[in-house]
Amino acid sequence: MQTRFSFYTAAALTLVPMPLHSEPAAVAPAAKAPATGATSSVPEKSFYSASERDSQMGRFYKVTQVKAPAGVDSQVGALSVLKDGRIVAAFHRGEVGIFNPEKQEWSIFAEGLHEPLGILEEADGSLLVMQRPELTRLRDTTGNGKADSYETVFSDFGMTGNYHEFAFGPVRAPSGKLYVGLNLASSGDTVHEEVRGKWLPIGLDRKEFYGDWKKNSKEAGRMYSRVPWRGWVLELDPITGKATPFASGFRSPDGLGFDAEGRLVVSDNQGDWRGSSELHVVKKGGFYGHPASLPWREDWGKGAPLDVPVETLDKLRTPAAVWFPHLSYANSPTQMVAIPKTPVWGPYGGQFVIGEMNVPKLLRVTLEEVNGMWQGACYPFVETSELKAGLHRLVFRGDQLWMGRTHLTWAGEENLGFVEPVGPAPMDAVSISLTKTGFKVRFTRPLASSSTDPTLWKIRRYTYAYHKEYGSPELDQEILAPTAVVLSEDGLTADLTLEELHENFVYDFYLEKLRAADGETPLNVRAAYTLRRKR
Amino acid sequence: MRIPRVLGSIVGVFLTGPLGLSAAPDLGKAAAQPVSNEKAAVNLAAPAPAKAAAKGEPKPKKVFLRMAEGLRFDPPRFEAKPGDLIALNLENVDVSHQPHNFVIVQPGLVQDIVKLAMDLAASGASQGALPKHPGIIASSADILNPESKAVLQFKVPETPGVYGYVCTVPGHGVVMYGAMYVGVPMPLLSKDTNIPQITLEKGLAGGGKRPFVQRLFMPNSGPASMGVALPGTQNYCFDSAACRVRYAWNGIFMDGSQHWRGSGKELAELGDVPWWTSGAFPLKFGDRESSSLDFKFLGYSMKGEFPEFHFKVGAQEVFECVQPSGSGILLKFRLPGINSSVGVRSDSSAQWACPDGVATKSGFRISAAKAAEFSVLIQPKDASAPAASKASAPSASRPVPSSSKP
Repeated sequence: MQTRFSFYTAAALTLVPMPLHSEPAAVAPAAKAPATGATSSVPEKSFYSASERDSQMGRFYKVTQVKAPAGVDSQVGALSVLKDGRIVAAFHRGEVGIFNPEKQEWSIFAEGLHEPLGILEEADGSLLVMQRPELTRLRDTTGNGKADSYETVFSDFGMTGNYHEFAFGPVRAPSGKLYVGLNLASSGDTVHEEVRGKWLPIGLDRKEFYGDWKKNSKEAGRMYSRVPWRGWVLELDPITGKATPFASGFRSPDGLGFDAEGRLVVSDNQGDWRGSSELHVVKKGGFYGHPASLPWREDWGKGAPLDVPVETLDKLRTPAAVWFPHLSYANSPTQMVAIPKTPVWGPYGGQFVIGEMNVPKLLRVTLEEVNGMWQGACYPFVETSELKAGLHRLVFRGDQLWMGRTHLTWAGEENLGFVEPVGPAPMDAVSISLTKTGFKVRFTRPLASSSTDPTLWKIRRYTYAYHKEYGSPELDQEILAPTAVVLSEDGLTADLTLEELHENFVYDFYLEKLRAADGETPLNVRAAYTLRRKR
Repeated sequence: MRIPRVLGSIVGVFLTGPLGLSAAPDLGKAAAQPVSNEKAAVNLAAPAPAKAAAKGEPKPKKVFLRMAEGLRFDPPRFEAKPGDLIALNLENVDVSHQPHNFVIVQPGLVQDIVKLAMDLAASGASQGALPKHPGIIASSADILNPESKAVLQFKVPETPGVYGYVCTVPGHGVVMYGAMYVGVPMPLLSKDTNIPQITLEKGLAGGGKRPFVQRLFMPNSGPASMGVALPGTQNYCFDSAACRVRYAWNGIFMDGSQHWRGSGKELAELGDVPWWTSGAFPLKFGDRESSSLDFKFLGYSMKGEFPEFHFKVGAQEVFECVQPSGSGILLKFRLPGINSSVGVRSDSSAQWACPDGVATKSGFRISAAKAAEFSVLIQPKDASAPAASKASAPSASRPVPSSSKP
C-alpha cells in the first residue's frame, strides 16, 4: 500500500519543475531568506516572447528531430558518437541502440542494463557503459551486431538501493584515464535492506533507516553518502579497472567533461550546499562543497560532516568556477562538451556548450584562471522550443550537436535531435573576462560606437549562500553601471571600468540596449560572470 | 506514506483558485465531479505560494492515472484505503491521439457499464455521453482529448472490494479497464484477472523475449541484481555482489514498470513466487569457508542461449551457467585451475542432485579430479507442482529482510 502510493506521490513531481538530479523533498523551497539583501530568483520578464525568440533563433540555428528506435522507452540516458560516425545511445530501460544517420536506421546492440547514463567507445570498438551498478564493457565477439559479452570493468563502489544513487560518466582524459561520478542518496527515500559496500558508521544509525522514515530522514541529511564513494569523482584505469578516489564534495555530478586543454570539468545541481547550479574545474584531491562525501576521505577525522561548522567546510572547499543563476539561466544544467573549432561554429569554437533539463535551452561557458582560481561566465546560447526540454546528453558529430533527452519523474522530454548553425554567427556576447578594473566583453560583431555610453550597460551583482538548506536566494544584490566603456579599435571588445569589484559575486550582464554597428540586436541578452578572485 | 509537502497547499489552490471552479459540495457523496480542467491542472504546478487548505478540510491523496496508447490505463491498478479522499490526476498521453474518459464503478460492474455505453452509442448519443447507472462511483465529466489533464476528486467507498475503472468511449472498454483495490490484497500482477493481460506485456522486462537478462532492483536481493528469463518457463535472480543465484521462479518473468515509470525507487515485481530461495553461496573450495573470502563479479557472456557468469571467490575463478532442466534449473560450474575438492551446500527448500559428487551431511562433495567442471540440479520439492503459486504471495514491491547474509 505504502509503496504503491509513494510512487504516485513521487510522480506528482512531473508537474513541478525539477531536475534529473534533485530530490523530491525539495519541492518546497527550503532556503530561508536572510533578513537583508535577499532578492527573489523568479525569472524576469523575457526580452523576447517565446514565438519571437523561436523565429529569431531560427535565423541562426536549425534543429532536426530524431526518434528513438521503436519499442524502447525513448528517454536517453547516454549518448556518444562512434568512430565511423554512427550515433550510439543508451535508453532508460537499458537498451543500447546504434543509429546510422545516412540510412536513418536504428539497430539494438545490447539490452537489459540498469539506468545507463554514460557511454564511450574504445579503440577496439567495444563500448563502455556506466549503469547503476557498474561500468560495463560491451563486446560483440561473434560479429552479429549484438553484444554477447558484458564484462564488469568497475564495480568497487557502494549501492544502498536508494533511487538517487545514479552513476555518471565515463569520460576519457587525454591520458586515457576514465572518470566517473557517483551521486549521493536522497532523503526522499531510505535504503534497501541489503546494500553493497561498507556501511559508514558515522551519522544516523542504520536501524533508523528502517524505522519511521518520514521522521528519521531529517536526521540522515538531505542528501547522504553512507556507502563508499558516493559524492565522489573517481579516476579509473580502463584496463585494470583500478579506481582512485579523485575529488569529493559532489551532490549530483551529472555532467563530466574535458575542455580543449584536457581539464576535467563537472557540473552539479542546485540543492543543499548548492545555492545555485554550478560548474567546477576539478583537480585531484579537491573538495567541491557538498560535505556528505567527506568521511570517505582518508584524512577525515571530524565525525559527522553535518556537525562540522560551515566556516570550517567553507575553508576546505574550492568554490564553483561558474554559478548558473537559478531559473534565469538554468534550473538543472547537464553535460558540457567542447564546441569544435570549425568555421561553422565560428567564434564559439573551444568554449563549452551545456544542456539544461527544464527549459529548451543550451548555454555556453567560458573559463579563465585568475590568481590560481578558476572562474568564468555562462551565456544563454540557443533557446528555442524546437530543442525541447530535458537536454540531458550532448555530443558533437562533426558540426552537428546531437542531444538526447530524458526526464524520469522530473521535467523534460524524450528522443533525440541535433542542432546546427545556419549562416553567420548572430550578434552575441562571445566571452567575458576579468580585468584589474572591470570586465572585457567580446562580441561576434563590432559594436555601434554609441556603446561607449555607460547607461546602455546594466550589471546586477549578487551572491548565493553556502549552507545545508536547499538552494539560496540571490543575496546582497546591487545594480551597477560601468563608470567608463572603451571600445577596441575593431569594435569587437568593450572594456568596462567598474567602481569596485567584489569577490565571490555573480556579475549578471544585461545587454538588450546594445546594438551592433550593423544595427543588429543581440540574440541573447544576458551573460553572468562569477568573480572569485580579482586580478 | 510519502506525500509531497506541498500537497496540502496545492489542494488549497484548486479549491480556492481564481479559475471559477467550485469545490465539490459534498466530497463524501458518491457522485463526485471533476474539479479541474487542463488549465487548472497546469496552474497547480505553478511554484507561486499557495494558500494552505482551510483547517479541518480533508487533504486528498494524489493518485496519477494516465490514458495511454494501446487503449490502456497506466497504472492498470492502484490501492486505496477505505474512506480516503482521492484527487485522481488524469492525463491523456495517448500518442495515437485517441480521446478517453474515466468511470469508476462498484465491484463487478465494468462489463455492464461497457455494454450500456455501447447501447448508448448505438442509440446515436454523442461520443462523450456517459451511461447512467447507480453503480457509478465517480467519472470524468468530459472526454479527455489527447494531451489534456483533469483532476477528479472522490471518496473511496468504505466497503472493501475491487472497484473497476473503465474508459466508456465506444470500443475502448473491452480492453481499457483497470482496478482500484480497497482493503483487499492485490494478487500478483501476472495473476490479476481484474486487469487486462495487455497491460502486463507492456511492463514485462524484455517484452516476453527469452532468453533475456535485465538488471534492475529486485525483491529480496542485493541492489546490484539481475533477472534472467531462460528459454522455456524458468526465471532466476542473480545477485552480482553476492555472486550467486538468489532464487528461481517459474512462469511469467518480471514487471519493471513501477521502477521505470519513476526515478527508480520501486522494485521489479516477479511473475510468481519463487519456488526456491538460496540461503548462502553454495560452494566451498577445499576447507576454506567461502564466507570469509572476497567476492568479485567480472561480468557475463552469452553462451548460446544462456548467460555464463564470471566471478572470483578469493583467488578462485568461477564460471556459472544456469540452464533449465526437468522442472527446475541446472547450475553448471567451471572452476579453472582448481586443485582441491569442492563442497556443495544444499538446502531443504528444494530437491538437490549432483551426479558428479557424493552425498555428504551438508550436501555433496566433488572430488578434485571432477571439480574443474560439474553441475548441480535444483528442482522444486514437489516436482508435480513446479510453480509455488499455491503459496501465499508475499509483497514483491519492497525489500524484506532476507534470511541470508547481505
